[in-house]
Amino acid sequence: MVIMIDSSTRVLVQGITGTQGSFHTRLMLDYGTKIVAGTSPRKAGLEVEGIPVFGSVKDALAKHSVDASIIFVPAAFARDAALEAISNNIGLLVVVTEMIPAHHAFQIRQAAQKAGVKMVGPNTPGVISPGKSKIGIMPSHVFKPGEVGVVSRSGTLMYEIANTLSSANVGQSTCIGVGGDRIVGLGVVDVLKLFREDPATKAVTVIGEIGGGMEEEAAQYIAATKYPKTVAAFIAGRTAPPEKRMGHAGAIIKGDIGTFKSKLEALEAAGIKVAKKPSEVAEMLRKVI
Amino acid sequence: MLLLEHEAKKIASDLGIPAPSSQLCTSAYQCVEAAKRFGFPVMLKAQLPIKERLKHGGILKAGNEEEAAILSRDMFSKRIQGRPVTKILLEKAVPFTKEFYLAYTFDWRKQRPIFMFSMAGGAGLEDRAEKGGILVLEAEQPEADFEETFVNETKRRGLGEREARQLLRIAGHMKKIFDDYYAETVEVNPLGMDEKGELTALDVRVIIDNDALSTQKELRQKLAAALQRPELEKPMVRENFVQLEGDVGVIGNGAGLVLSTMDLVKLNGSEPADFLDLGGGATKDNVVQALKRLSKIQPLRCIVINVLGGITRCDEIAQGIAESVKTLHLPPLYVRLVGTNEEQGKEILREAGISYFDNMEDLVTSAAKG
Repeated sequence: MVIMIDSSTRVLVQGITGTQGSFHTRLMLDYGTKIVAGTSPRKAGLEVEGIPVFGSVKDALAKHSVDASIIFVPAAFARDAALEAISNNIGLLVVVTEMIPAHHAFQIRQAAQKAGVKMVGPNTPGVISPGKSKIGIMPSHVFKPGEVGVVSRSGTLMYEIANTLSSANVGQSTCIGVGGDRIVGLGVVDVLKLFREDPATKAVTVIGEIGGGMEEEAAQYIAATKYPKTVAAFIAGRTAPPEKRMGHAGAIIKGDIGTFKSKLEALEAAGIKVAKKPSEVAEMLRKVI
Repeated sequence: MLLLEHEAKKIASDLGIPAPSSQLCTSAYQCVEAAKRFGFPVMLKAQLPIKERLKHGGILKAGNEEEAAILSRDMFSKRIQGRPVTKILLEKAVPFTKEFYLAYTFDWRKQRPIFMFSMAGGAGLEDRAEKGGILVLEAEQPEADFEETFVNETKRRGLGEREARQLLRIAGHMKKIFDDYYAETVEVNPLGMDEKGELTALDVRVIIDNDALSTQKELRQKLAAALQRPELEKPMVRENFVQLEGDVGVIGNGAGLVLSTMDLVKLNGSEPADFLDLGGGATKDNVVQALKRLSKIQPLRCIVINVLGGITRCDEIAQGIAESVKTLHLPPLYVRLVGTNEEQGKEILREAGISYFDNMEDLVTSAAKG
């Protein structure tokens, strides 16, 4: 058993008829993900890649049992789609959509917390348990089944490090991108808690980037709770000049908080090794796996 | 997007937050005429989207006609933090005995909207914040609870109930701006109070969420109408580009990957010339635009393109690169292209005679050597 998803997890795709929705439905099906239904407000009755399309989450649930939903709905309508999934008690929500306004992301996050729904994202590559299932947009061939849990703030960097891990024959139990936005559902610490209880995960990789405070919090949590599994980290932005906005909002430096230095120091103080290059993570973990 | 002061004040006063009498001026002559109409003293405030205008000479006080003429002419002829002053907000100087700080903003670490209040507004607020001088309340809580806490806390700080209630009214209007305009920050600093207890917003700062401007049509229409700027109705195009000092161009998809590519460039002894994130799901045209932009930075030794596609499709990227090589004058390209539709992408590159790497560290090492 691995955390969050496995080959029996039944998945709903919200926004299945869009370009990204239909394309990644195909790729998820190819990987073995059990997609049972999709939604699209004006295209009920159609099929996408052999999957029935419903007009609403409620209509889909009347015909199918669903454990998780992945959202591809455009940012203009994504909040309503997410709230619809939450109010219909779908236990896991993966919000791929990017550029959801902070006010909306906060509303979704609050509703999910209240309802006890696990929310990953927004602006996330999703969740993959290699060899079993993926609910997301990640290129599956860079992942390989194994025992390392990966939690990442960056999507593409998660692929990059999974790729070097796989090439070094260090497989992964579950990889989760928490999403690059400033307001997201599960954070790095939340995922570390899940990995802690997961017997399939023997060691963990934390992939961070400048901005925000999730890496510092993770360092604190690991030290304070005597985290029982080996953790290796990589942080992007070692050479980024301070006070410059680098791409998405997650990478804003504010004061001393969220700089590369503050993250490096917090992690090292907690006894966590921080790799200089992405490929070093595999070297660090090969010894303990 | 940071609104200019006069824009923020327009929105604030539309919602009932009082601001001083003012006029937006584009010449020293206009400034003087407006000042004569309002009566002296007046404030001259450069309309620029920058921090610490006071410190940089962007806010000046004129006591008479001659001063207004000299100071406004001066201000129009200078650059503040590299920006020319093209508009001055001329305001009647309002006397006040107390100045407060009020703000709605997001606490990004705790991922929630908050309200902040200080008995002393103005400059140097950050230092006082460190000393715990700022009251912070959760913005999203039942109104009655919010009001009760606010009144109790401000009483403890020596404010009367009537004054507290007045401040609450302003806070209520600010909350409406915060919500209705998808603001990241709505700040009144300072909010002046005169002897009679009348409140005036001396400066207002509104930052609107760029993601909302890109994706929420209703917001754009509302803002365009409020500010009479019809061009705001067009979706904002997100720009993920920062120019730096070095000579190795860097392009990639995803902020984390681009940042770590830059880190590797530096580890290999070179300096990145930029940060350019294509974002998720970039099209052929996005790639052409990105390369066009870099082709204008001179002199570049080479450009490193690092793409690991998830939602981004390698064939789109490859088409963009192949097209750019034909049409643009570019330094040597070092390309790494893996992920979704990788084989199709590589085929396109091969046909165009462009070599590629599979591994990002090999990519950067080769670029640094070349």
